[in-house]
Amino acid sequence: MKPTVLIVEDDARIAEAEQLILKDMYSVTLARDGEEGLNQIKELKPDIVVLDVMMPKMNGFEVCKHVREDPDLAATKIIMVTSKTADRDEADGMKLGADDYIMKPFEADELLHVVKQVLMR
Amino acid sequence: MSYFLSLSVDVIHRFNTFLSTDAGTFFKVGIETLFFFLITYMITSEYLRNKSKHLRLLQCAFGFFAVQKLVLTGLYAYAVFGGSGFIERHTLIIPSLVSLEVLGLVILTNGFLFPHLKKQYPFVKRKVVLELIAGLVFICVMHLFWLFDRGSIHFQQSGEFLFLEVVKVVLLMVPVYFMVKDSSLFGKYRIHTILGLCVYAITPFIHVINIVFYMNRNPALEVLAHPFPLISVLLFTRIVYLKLSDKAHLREQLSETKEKYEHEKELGRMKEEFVSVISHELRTPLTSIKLYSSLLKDGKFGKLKKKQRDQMLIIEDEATRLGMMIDDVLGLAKLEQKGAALCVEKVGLYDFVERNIFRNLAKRKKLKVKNTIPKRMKVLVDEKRFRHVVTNIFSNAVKFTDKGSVRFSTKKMDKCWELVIRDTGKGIPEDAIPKLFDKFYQAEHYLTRVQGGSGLGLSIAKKVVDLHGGDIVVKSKEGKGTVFRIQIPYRL
Repeated sequence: MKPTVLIVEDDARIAEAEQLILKDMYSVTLARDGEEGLNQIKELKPDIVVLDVMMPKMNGFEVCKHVREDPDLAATKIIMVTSKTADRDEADGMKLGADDYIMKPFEADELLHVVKQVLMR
Repeated sequence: MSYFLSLSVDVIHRFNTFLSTDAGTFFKVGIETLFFFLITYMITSEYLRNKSKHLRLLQCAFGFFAVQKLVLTGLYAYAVFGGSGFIERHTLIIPSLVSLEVLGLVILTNGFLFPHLKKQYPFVKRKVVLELIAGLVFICVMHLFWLFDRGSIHFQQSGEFLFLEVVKVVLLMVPVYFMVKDSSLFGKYRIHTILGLCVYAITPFIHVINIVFYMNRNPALEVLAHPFPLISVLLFTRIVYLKLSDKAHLREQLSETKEKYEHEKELGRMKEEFVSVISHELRTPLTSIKLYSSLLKDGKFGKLKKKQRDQMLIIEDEATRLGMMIDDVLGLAKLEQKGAALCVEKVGLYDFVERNIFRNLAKRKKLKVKNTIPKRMKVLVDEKRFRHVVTNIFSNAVKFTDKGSVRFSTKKMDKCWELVIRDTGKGIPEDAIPKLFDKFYQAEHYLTRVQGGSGLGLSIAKKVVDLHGGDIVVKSKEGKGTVFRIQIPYRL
């Protein structure tokens, strides 16, 4: 069975592109904002979440924090997608328990590589 | 006119006569006490802010004066309100008060005199000078006690009183002398301090004349001597006023500075916020462009012909360039924010070149890239930022070299290592080299230039290398090529 990936991304085009890149190797689901993302994570318990930082309703950091506080979701891996220059972003994400991060704009291969790496850990 | 003159002389005389009575003295010393305490307080507060030795001396001297005047006020109050004869009965009081005043002056004068004496006679010690003067004063005062106690002579006619008054005048004139000589003392309060001390010295001076020439029996002189301490106090009060208005001014300035600081902090915060929002807004569409062009190129939406694939490559390259521009502009904003800190770790230097996007671009331009960096060489740098430096110089080398090669090598030196990037490009004009690291500087004019770029890359590279405590050295020959040497110390 393919590992499951949840993409939480408010920009529909990027979400679709990510899905197209990952769908050959993983079973991919999409969520449009942080709130929906968190609900989906709790419901589907995906193996890995590709989590955008800047999102309406609930940002990526908050989602990440909620996931890490929930003992049921301890196995869920998280990759943060940042678009800010601030290095603090990454530091914040890692402190909150993200497994890795990727910075926009990224290449298709980069996304595949990071997802594969994190799942192998 | 002459009427007014005689009237004012009369008024002054009456006032002076009033001052020589018990009630007048009470009034006088009362005001003096108030002001002396005020002045001492001001000098103390100034001393706490600006620990100058002279201020400490002034503080001591005025402290002595203030205490003396306070006791005197109490005594005269008692005399005025019923307890007449008290001062005469308690014979030790007046000489004690005189000694307090003189001791205050001794401290003040010694502070001015000692450094001067020390310069001329290095063996002189501060304590010796102080003890010598204090000892003489002490002997005089003790003798006065004895005289006063016996009641045989009015003490104000004695030689000791004369001596004390002479000492007072001399002691007051010494600081005046040094203050006149050295204009840096007391800043803008200098004139008032000099005047105050001079006026304060007039009273003992009149006493001296009175004793020497009239056996202290000239009532006119005695009356004349009374108001000067009051005038002197008024002069010192002027200093207090000046200081208070200064303080108010300073407080105003402080609050203005505070406001300015808050405003700048707010601006800084807004700038950071702006950079972060713009960064997000620019990177998001760029991500779409990159991802879709790569999906198209990889045939996810149908197989492409070779020509179509080549066009997709151009789109990808341009997207990469745009990404770098964004990194440049936003990275510079970030570096310019205060407290930009490095995040250093040991990383392999070889991969900075091998995994560089410009390696492929060089290949497409048919340039040779020679990388002779030892594969195992690890260096201590901020990986992300240093990658930016290498990428920037690499991109310039590829941009300005049409045929030949770009070569990377390293050199180990005493305290630092060196990354050398050598190209066979068109070179940089000699006069352009010093300006190379200026922001927005480009060797070609923007109207004539063929190559793109923000003009920020090298400025950022320099900043990053500076943050590492290193340096970038450039040598170039037009038409032959350019050598960039990035030098970074082993220990950061």
